[in-house]
Amino acid sequence: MDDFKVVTSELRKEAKLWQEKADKAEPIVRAVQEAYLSATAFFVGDPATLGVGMINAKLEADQYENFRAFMEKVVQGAVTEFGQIDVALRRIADEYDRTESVNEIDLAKFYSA
Amino acid sequence: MSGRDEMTNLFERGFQGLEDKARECADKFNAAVHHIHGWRYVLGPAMFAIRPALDTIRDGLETLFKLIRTAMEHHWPVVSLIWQSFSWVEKVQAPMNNLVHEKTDLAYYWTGPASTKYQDKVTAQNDAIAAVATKSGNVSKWLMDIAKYNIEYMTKLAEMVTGFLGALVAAAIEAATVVEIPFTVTDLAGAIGALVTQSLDNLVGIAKRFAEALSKVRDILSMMSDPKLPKNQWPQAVTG
Repeated sequence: MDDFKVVTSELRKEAKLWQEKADKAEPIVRAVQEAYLSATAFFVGDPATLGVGMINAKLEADQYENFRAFMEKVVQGAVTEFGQIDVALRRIADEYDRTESVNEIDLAKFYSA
Repeated sequence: MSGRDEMTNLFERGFQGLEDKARECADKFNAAVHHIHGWRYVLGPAMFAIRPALDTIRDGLETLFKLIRTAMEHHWPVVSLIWQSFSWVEKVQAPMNNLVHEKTDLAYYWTGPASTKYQDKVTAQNDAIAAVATKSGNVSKWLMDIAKYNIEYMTKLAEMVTGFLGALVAAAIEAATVVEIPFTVTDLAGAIGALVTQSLDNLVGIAKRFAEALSKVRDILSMMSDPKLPKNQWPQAVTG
């Protein structure tokens, strides 16, 4: 049993910060969603008429889209995670208040949604 | 770095009057053909030299029109690329960096293993935030490079159509006397031929540098693997 101390109001204050982060991350997800670009968006030029081989930027546009989708998923994950940290901290605070325990609490329980 | 509006304006400048000038080129050329046609019997054998010269001019015009048509079709999509290159910095990277969790006084009020475990999780979250911000900055740079070549291209294409129209106006075939016609037409064909060759050289060079910049999409793809984002996702502080 390790020694520990806790002021649960501080824990709840900390939790609120993560809820705010979750809210602030939402518009970032939308910005990444809006960053979609069609293959026609990459070049105003006419490689066919210029005879420089490359027909269009489809391959690269697809790869960019893979990256964009990856970023969207990651930032969406951040929104979820920030919200879950908020909940976990509040639960831990509740548990401390309920048990007034000076012993370790079951951490694993709080860090799983 | 220039701002979004400035970049957009530079790009737009290439489109200003583009179609009007192309139309004027066509009108000038058609007037010339019409004028020559009216004198064809008088010109007689001189027509053997005039026809291939006219073909050179017509070919040049057709190439120019194709380039302009493609540019018009891609105009707005490329504007959206310019905007997105700024959006990755302004709407993703900057707000992302603002999410970094600054250490609070919590560590003074909460100690023990539960607290330590929490602080470790904060570090992982901050690392992921920094990683996403960096990636957003990099993809923005990539798009910005591509945007730059699009602007260069439009600048050259605008010069090409201006040069073309200038040559047609200077030659004024539609007003040439029958005596002047053969020389004027062959002179013009020479000037147009040189202009088209030079312009295409420039545009091909830009297209090649563009393709080179575009191929750096590889670097973008490689950013999808990052230990700061384990299993290609946001680090799970809370599982499930």
